[in-house]
Amino acid sequence: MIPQLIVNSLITAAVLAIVGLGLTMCFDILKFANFAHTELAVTGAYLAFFFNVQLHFNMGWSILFASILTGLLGMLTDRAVFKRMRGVGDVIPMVTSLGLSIVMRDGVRAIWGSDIRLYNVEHSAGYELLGARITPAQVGILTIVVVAMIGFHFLLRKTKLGKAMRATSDNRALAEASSIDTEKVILFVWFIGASFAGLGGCMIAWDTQLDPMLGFMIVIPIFCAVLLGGVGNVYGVMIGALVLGFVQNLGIFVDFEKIVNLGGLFHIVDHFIIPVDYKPAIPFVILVILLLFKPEGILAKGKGK
Amino acid sequence: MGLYHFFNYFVTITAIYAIFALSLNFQYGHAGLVNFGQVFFFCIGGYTMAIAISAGLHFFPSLFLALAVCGFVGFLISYTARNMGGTYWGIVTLAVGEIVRLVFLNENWLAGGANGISLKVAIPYFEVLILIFTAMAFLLTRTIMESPFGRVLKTIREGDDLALSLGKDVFSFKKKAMTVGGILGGLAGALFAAQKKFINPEDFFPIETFIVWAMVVVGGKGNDRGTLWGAIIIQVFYVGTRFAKDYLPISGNRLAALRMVFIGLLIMLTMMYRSKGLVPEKRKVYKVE
Amino acid sequence: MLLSIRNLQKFFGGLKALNGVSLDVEEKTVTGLVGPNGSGKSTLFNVVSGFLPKEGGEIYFRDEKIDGLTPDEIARRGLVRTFQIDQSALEITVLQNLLLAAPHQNGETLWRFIPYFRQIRMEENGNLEKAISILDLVRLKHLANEYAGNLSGGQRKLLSLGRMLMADPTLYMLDEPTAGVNPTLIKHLLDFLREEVMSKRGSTIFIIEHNMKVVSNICDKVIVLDSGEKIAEGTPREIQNNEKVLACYLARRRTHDEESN
Repeated sequence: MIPQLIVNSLITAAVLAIVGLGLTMCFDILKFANFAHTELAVTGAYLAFFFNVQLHFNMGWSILFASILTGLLGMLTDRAVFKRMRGVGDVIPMVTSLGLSIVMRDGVRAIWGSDIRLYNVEHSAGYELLGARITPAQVGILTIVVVAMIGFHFLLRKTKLGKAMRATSDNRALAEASSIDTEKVILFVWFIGASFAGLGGCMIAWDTQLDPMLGFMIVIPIFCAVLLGGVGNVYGVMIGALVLGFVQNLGIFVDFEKIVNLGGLFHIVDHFIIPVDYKPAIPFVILVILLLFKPEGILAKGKGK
Repeated sequence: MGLYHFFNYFVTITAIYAIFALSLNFQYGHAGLVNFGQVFFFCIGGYTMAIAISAGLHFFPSLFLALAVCGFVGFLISYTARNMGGTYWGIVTLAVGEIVRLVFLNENWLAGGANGISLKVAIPYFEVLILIFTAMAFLLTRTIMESPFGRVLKTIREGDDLALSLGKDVFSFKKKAMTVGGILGGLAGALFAAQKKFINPEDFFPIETFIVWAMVVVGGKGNDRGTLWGAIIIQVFYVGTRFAKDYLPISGNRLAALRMVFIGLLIMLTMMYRSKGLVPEKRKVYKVE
Repeated sequence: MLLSIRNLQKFFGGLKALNGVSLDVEEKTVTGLVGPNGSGKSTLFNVVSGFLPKEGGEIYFRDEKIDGLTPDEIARRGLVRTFQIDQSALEITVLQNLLLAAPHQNGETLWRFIPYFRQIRMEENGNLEKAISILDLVRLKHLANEYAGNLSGGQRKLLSLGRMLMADPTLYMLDEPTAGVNPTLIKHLLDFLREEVMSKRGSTIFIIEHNMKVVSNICDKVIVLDSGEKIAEGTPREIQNNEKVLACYLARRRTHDEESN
């Protein structure tokens, strides 16, 4: 069973990481929490559905087009909505993003309906690997995400754009003074972040199914991963995603009896296992505890860029 | 539904949501606390009312219990806001709202879990009572905000530093704001449960929080009269579009989704262009000569 | 000694913003705190008034140790400070800003509102009268019902001074009160500080200033900081002739010139 749990955890982590990447960058540079970011994931997933099922493209091209379109959509939301709010503080854009998330989520619902949908792909039972069952979709997901992360790493470290991105996130005023066009950098960040989010949405839908609530279902886990790794820390969010993936999948098997009984001091319960029904609550609880005690994030010893 | 019954229902539900919106406005518009999980007061208030009445308590004692519990919850939650910035607290409250709903969903022994809980309420002229409560809620928030206490809250809205430098115990003010917000939210929830006579976790999705946000934002942050208007406008829109499907070739589901798109747009557009809301706050003018 | 600071230390990571500063502020005097930009003046104010934690040292106000208290606890003990970047409550009126500053208001306690209603009303009226006369003094009376957010920078400085007067503390800590205020108004303010604050109310002033004319005009004693350390202390005259002080300002000038070349 353990190998299966590991596979599941990795898949969860991969998806959380790729969607969270964009959020952590935008949160850091623009200083507000974008509640509409995960809706980019749903939008991307349904755009791929449009290409794949309604236009009969193959899955690969569908995902590619969907991701690019979502990237453009992200840029659009910045220009049309958030650009005017630079420097207004964190509350107004955050509440606006709440409105935007409703528009996007219910926009998807209005166009494609609430029924569960599936992509036009083979849904095979997959292979057996070291005691775990892994589907081709999941292999695809892991591959794509790892490639995307590596590609992003190179972008960040080895290109001029990457350098500009790091400078802008470290200190925007200073970057401006060094003649970096930060507004252009921001646009690129949106494109990358949004297209990754769209890509992530396709991954989720490919592995499971299409559901308009897909975005809302991951919004708290995504924030959790971002905050665990420290806002702005792109490597942190990957680690946060891993932590969350494993804790979520393994957490329901751990017997917390020792903690509840305070290591034998008391005997309140015989067993304390988190009921499966509460599995969705795990990231919520982690998030609340994290923010109460260490809002900067566990890994935030300065930005690991 | 006959016209009288329909109108009756509309007024009642608007009144309840008005109280709910006033509770959010008190926390956000007056005290600057961004609560994205306001539904948890609504939920706890409703369930407390339902459980109390099912256990045999009469209407008013149950109501009082619901208010007390919610006020206490508000008081406790305020401790989470103590050292946390607005953004993070918004995220936390969203999470807490969902945790609360999940607890009620999974703990069948509490209140029937997914099956919900029903309650019998037999108060004559119940609708009138609800309207009276709405008026009282409005008067309460207005009176508090016109007082020196309200003045300090408005200052804290923009930041803690000024109030601190003048010797105001800012945290104590925030605690009280959350307690009052909790009591009002609980009142709305309790009346909601009593009016509907049956509640289950599906009544308390985050969408409820978002709807009252639209009411507060559209009506005017910090303006209680504006909040009432916001409640009326949003409710009219909500209920009005329900009939549209009889005249338009759109399916019910699609319509429901479009309705929410519109509400989302309302929030966005108001924040983008009129962040003070459609009905701006009234300025307190003194005679100076 | 109204305010005593012993060996105060404040670090920001590796940066020693305050490195063992000791000073005294005597009752009923005007003490100035000067120094080049970044010397630690505002940091000192922030630590003393409780807005920033310290890493070492002790602070005594009226013989009571106040380090570790929260800013509002310190303010209630009679130490009120202004901010370099004005923190007015912008969404309420000028008059409301002043009413806000009145100490010990019963109306601010929620549960007292109903039982003490008459008393609170009387308090408010009393405070209102006081506030109006203060507005007169700072020449903002014509803007009484204007939103504080609509005031100019200089007017907001006056407003913060007005709030101070309303709060009527034992120790006024003013952070660059004349920055952005026009010269005629500055003179008015200084006369006003001397008469109203010093003579009539017997308060003490601790003031951060860059304007040396203002400093020589009203300060009894001046303390000079540089890079987190006290380098000189004395009357304005003594300071202006102090070699160390001149050297440090000159050195700053030189590096500044170097950087611009």
